[in-house]
Amino acid sequence: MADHARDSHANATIMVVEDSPTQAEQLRYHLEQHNYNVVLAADGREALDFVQKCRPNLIITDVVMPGMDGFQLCQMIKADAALQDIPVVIVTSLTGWDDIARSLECGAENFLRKPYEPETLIARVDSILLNHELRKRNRVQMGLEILLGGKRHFVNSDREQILDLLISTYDEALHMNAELQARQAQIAHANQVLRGLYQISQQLAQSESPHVACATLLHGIGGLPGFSPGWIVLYDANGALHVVAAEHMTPAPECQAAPHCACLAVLNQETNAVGTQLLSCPCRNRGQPDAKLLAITPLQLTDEVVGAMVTMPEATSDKSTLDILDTVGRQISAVLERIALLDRLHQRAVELETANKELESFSYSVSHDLSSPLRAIDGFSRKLEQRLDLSADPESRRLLGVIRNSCQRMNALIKGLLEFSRLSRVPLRDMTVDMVTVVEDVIVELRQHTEYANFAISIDTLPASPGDFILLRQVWENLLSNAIKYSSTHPAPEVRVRGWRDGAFNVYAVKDNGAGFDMHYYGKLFGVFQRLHREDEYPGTGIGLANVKRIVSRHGGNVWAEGAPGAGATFFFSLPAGD
Amino acid sequence: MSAMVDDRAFRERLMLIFWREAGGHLTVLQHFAELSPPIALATRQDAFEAAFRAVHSLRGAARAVSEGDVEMLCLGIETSLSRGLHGEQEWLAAVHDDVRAAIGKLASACAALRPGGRDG
Repeated sequence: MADHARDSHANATIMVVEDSPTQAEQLRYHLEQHNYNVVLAADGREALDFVQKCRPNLIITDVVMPGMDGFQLCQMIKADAALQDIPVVIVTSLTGWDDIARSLECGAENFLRKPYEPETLIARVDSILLNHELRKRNRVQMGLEILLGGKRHFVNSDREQILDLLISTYDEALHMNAELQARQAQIAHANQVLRGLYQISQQLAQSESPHVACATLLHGIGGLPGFSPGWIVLYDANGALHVVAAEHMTPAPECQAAPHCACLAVLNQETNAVGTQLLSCPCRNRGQPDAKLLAITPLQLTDEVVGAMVTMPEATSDKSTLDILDTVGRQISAVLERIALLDRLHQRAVELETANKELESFSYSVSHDLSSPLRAIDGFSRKLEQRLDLSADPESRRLLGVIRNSCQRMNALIKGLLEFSRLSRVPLRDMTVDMVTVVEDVIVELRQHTEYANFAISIDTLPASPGDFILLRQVWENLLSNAIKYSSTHPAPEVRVRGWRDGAFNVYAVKDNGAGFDMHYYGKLFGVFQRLHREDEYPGTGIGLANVKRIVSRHGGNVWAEGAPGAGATFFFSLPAGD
Repeated sequence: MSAMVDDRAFRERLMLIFWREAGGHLTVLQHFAELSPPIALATRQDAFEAAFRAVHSLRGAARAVSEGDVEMLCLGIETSLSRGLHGEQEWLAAVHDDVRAAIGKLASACAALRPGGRDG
């Protein structure tokens, strides 16, 4: 709009007649932003009172209002000689010819179609005020000077022609508007459905039981435009129906119409129906002739129907309605399958845990019970050895020695097994363990009590970790004694201890330059009684690393190793840093 | 103060006005929903007209605050009421049930718009 138009009407007063405070406030805001003075009236009667007191330059009125509507207001203004010169703009949705005809009848100067853009509103108001001014000046002429698109035009057409033009223009506008509204409704509907389906999907992902999942789904369906929820049934192992969730409708198995219920009959059919079926049922229509259709969607896992979802589409059911229900049906079926799998997995975990505990208990009992006869064999062998004098034949004495050595070795194995079993039961004491102090202490002890005292050791800075001091000392004892033992055949045995922080864990490493091991047998390394070297080379029970693994696992950490034959080995373990 | 800040302040004020206005319209609509079907239009013309005006105004108000979901729910109810008022549709129990359900959804959608009651 040309600036001169705005200048000539700056500070003009505009009366807005609108019963919706929100829409009135929005109009006022846009008009005041462009320096118009705004007076608000909530309906036609209030507007008539105001217009006598403050004569506005323009009236913008809504149509549908309580008391006196916009058409009646306009008619009364145009019937009053003192007021008829005030231009009146009818704000309308242009939903039918009736709006146009009644606007022409009541003498309104212009329409403002809802929804309007603020720029359109201001341009229209500017234009009306300017044209009104021009017409006042040109009244003596045969035609009218008007301003359109910022340019002045002189129109001398007669009234009928103008009306024809106006009506044909509005006819076109009406068609376009209806089409636009239909498209807008379709898009809004599709958006609402998409948003609803997305929310259902999100909520179902968190469901952990069939009841919760089905109730969540029905609630979600209630939020979809054009759908009312109903109920969901699942078949048990014997094929009997069980209602797992219901909302808004009484489930067929529980309703009074049950003997004549068509949906119940469908549910009881032993058919593998694919896709949603629509049917009319007495359980829903309450005797009304316009019975609503019910939609029955089978819940299917692979080829097996495991239940059904019953809903009530509000609108005339078309293919897209059925597609939506099929999609939702597939979704809940997948969720039910996931829940069933998780349930089975949980059951299996519980069974495994129970079996593991029983095995531990068995292992402990057996180890414990084996100790007594073993002690008896060893004790009586010793007594027999003492009874035999030196004249006894050497072979007999050798055989007795073998028996006693075997007993002692078996005793060591049983002790190891009992210790391994104990480590899974002993409660953990929680304290901050200074690893450097522990390692130094273990080294001092190992130098005193092992035959492999001649080794070089370097200890880096080690981070402290929370844990059980006694058990973690046992880990270091096992790893360091192994490192010393397996590097004892090296001419210059060396052991290096390191530690560092890695994310939420502290990692520790014990490296030696000893015999190493073949990574091919790595799988056996931390197993109970598993050994990668012959006992006559490096004695031991084969339980130490299993103990290390159990202790570290109980602390929430991990153990691993790397090595090569003749090239030494490095053993690592990690513990939660705890801060 | 920048235009953007002005617009945001205006939007907040408008939402508050909308919230109050919606409460009034919903009261009228819920009163209509509670009527027992079948409802004879001739005897309840006032209730139909009041409900129509309420949902029409609420639709316009929702459009003013760009709440498309509320606007579309209003449009559905307004269309049904308009057909009933103009004799294009007999006001059967099932139609009333649909409108009642839609009014319930509309109330929930408006409740979710409580100023300060949601993010963003």
